[in-house]
Amino acid sequence: MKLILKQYLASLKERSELDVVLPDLLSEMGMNVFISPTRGVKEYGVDVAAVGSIRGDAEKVYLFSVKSGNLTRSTWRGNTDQALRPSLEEIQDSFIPARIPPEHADKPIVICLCFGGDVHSGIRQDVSGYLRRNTEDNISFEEWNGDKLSDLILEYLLKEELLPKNWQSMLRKSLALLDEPEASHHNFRLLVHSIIESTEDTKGVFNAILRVHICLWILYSWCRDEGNLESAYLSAEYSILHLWDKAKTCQDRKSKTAFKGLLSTYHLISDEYVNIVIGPVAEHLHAASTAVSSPSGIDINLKLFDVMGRVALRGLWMSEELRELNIEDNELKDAEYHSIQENKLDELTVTMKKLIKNNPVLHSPFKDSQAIDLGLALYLFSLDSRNDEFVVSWLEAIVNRVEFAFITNSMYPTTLEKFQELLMHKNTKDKDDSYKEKVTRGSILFPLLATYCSLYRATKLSSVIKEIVDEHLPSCTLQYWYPNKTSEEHMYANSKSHGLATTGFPLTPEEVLTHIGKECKESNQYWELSAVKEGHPHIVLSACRYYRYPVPFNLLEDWIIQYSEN
Amino acid sequence: MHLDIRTELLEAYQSDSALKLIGDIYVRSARKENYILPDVLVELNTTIDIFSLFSGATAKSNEYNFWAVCQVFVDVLPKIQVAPSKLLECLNNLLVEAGSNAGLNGVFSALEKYCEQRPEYPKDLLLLIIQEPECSHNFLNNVLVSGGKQDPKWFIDNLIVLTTHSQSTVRAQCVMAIERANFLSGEWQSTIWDMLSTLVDKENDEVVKGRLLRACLKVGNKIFTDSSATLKLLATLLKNNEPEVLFQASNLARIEPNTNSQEIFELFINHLQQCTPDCQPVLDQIDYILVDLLEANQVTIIDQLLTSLLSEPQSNSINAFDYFTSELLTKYRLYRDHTIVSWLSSRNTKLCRAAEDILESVVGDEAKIEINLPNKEVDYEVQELIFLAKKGAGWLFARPVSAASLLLSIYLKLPTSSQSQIIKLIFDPLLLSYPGELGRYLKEKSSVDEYSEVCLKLIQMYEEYSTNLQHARECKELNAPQNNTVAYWNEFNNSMQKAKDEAPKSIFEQLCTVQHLLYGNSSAFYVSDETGEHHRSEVQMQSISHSVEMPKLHILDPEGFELELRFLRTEGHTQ
Repeated sequence: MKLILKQYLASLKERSELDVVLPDLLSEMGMNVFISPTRGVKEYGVDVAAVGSIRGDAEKVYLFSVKSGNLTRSTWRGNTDQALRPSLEEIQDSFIPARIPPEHADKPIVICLCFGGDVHSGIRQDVSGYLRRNTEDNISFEEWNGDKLSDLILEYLLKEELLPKNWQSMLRKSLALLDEPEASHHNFRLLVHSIIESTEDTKGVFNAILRVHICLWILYSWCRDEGNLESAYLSAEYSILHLWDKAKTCQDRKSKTAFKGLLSTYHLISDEYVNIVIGPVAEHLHAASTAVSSPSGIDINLKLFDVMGRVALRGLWMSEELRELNIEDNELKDAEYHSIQENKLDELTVTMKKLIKNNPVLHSPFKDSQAIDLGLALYLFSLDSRNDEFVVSWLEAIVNRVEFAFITNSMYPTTLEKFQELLMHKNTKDKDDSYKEKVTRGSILFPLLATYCSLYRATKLSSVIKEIVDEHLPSCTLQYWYPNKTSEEHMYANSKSHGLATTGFPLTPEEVLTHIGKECKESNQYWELSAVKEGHPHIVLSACRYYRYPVPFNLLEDWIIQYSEN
Repeated sequence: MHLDIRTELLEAYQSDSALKLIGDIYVRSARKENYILPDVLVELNTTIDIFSLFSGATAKSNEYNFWAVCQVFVDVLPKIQVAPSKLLECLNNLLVEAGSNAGLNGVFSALEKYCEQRPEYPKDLLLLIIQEPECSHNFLNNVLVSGGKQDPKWFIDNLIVLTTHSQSTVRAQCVMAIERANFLSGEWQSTIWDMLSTLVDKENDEVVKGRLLRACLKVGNKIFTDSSATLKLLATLLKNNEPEVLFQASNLARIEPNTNSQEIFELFINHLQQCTPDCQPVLDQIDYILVDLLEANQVTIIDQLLTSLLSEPQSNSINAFDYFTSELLTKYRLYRDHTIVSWLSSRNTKLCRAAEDILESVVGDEAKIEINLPNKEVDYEVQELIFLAKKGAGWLFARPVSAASLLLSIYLKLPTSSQSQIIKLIFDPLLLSYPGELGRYLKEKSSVDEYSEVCLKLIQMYEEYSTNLQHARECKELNAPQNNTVAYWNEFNNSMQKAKDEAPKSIFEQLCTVQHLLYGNSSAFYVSDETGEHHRSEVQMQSISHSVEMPKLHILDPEGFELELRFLRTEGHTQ
């Protein structure tokens, strides 16, 4: 386990990544953290500051200057503001004289050189000499390298009673199976489930979040090293959903802060997934399709719709963050950050469009449930009117292809879910009416398409959708899903089927929107969901994506009202 | 020798093995100078009942060679004197036994020779045949013709009566006799023609009408210098395009093209155009006619005939004319290009399908046929060329070299401003689907001056595309689950196995004993020679494989690919 931790610590790429674990570790060691890392800014060389006693020693002030990876010549005394030695001098020259809280002024000070790896042998003498020279009666130095941090994490965060051997084994399995992401994720799911099951009180929730967070970080760092983020992405999504289910009732600040930390890691992973993994392959024709490396077009279809849903979800989270920034900071004090985030969202939308354009398989839903991924993408696009033209042309291509698939009796959207079922469907020569009826018993796809066609005033497409349904799906139950009173209890952990399905979905443009508008008023439990009320509405969308529930139309309510008024 | 055979035959007759001996002697000596068996049998007819012997022959016998016995009967018949009733009994038996087998064909001319021995033979036989069941009617025309040679008036009188007979087989035999009546002098010809005209007006049976077609043409050619009267009768007979009549027309157009006038040939072609897929024998004949026309460079008639045969409502498949397509592809390059291009430009889906099918019929390296835009007297219009390019890319898609070669030749004819459309079509869907085969072709073509620029551009476009995919291949996150890939290949292998099981056996499997080796890469076996000695023989195993490049777009975007192909193929089509 220690080796796993050491590798995790050594592989952290940014100083901020080590920051994530350090304050929690110090808290768990019983220390009082009085300076936590803020976005990219050191306070006179100090990243983290805490006061307290370690293993019964006298109470001391610990000042941490954090550096990722190994300590090398350039990171020791290079010219960048990330170099350690200048930070140590700043601490001695500026922080200690002026920034130590008065109540701790008379306590011994320990300046900690904190880094995930080891000291490079070439600069060992320089470092030791510097530390010896600057050690005074009241000021001493300590090296908190990867080895020491691993010991401390094992001792305080993942100790036997908090992460028993069989749980450690689950973590090890999820790390060993990174090349089979589903198996890796399965083991991580078991681990999260075990951690959550063992929590009883508020303190337990905090601990659970902390432990899952550390484990997720370990998994993430290993995934990054392995060049396959799949397991980390799925596990992060699963973790935030299950831990929200636990944390939503906790009122203590510690748990809320810990959950925010977990959420940040989820964003970090999904951001990397979108920007580093998907972004480059979305750029070029057929690149993402080729990346699936499968001899079957069905695999490509399934994977790319899934990917599209993930990218769209990331975009929605980003738009939510921007919305929050606008509310919190209506004078836009941090205009630069705001602008960067806006550009990032624009870039993501462009990536989405390229992904769709360069991988035409995204015009052909094979599964009815791909309406969920389509719903996420369409909702994201709908937030910016600059996307309208693209959306209408995309909807047109989808409708045309679906119609063609029905006419040629090929891969029309069905309720079949598994790859093998779809493969059989493709190879079934005689898809007669009774077969078709069996595999198209219900649909959320056609209601979704009809809704967006109506909202975008694509009347012609709406008529085509109606014609397709009338001609090819006379027995299909057109429906849509809304959260109901049971959803709050079951949505985040998917403990049970929940929500309400409305049937008899009309397809003519006017009726569609009237129907949805009316139903949104009736089925308004979406607004009562804890995640929505607590300011994390997109946890609901993450749950919809992960557990395969439709994106609630309640999100479109304002647009529908606006449409009706015009 | 003569006596030996005679003695042998008598002995065999006594021991009920005469037919076996007859068959054996025939096999032994039929093609030799000393073939005296028929003469010996004629002689023996006074001693033993030869005809009873032949009457009892059966095709099912394992003891003697039935077909050899039949042949001996054919050789004996012109020389032997026998009562017509006995002969007819024997003939009927042999005809029933032989069925539709051509092994008994010689019996008809033998019968005529028999009839010529005595004037009363045909007359007696005619009376007997009319009273007999339908199978005897097959001999009617021979009896009439042989009797007619001796007594034309008897011939005419009997025809007048028999052509009104209620049984169509009798009428058909009468018409055959008319067709063969070369012996009639001028005084009877107008009577015969009048008879034919009446029959043509009245006849409803298509087999008889088919025979009438032949007879009218033969008699008409003989008595008229102008073909108008003949044409009139032929047109009446062909009016309803009945399969039997068309079959005879196709036969006449094929076998006797030179004796027919141009008008008559055109009449036949006009009606053969109406042939439908259920008339396979007629289509087989048309296949030969097409090759004849090809050899005679009669391309306008071929165009006309094929356009009609392949289009709706006839909707024949070009595969019905396999001899023609084979000749077209291998020997007539210019006309092949002309045909394919004109079909692709026709806005007729059936003709476009035929263009695709023609190329489908060749396999292996020969399948990489280049199609070039034929030179026209008037320049092609740009829109016409773009339309043709789309059809080429769509319909010839499965033959990427053929499609690309056509598109490249179109490219050269287009103004610079429109050339990019051709490059786009070659790149997507052709080059993206078949980078292997088409990539090699483009490389080859890039050494030809006029194609060099466009080929190099396409190669570069594909290289860029391919480079962009290199990074994607390293993206593990998007890899399909391994279980799915395993499931796919299992399903694929099962369907391949099923197809193999259901496919007809290869000619080698049918001819040879199949043995399955479970281990090793060579096999040893023992062969015994005539002395019974075993010789060991060892054969090294050879592996045979054949690979086909599957279109990549069919995997990357199966539905879009199908839709695009459909669009390229049918856009702007009227049929």
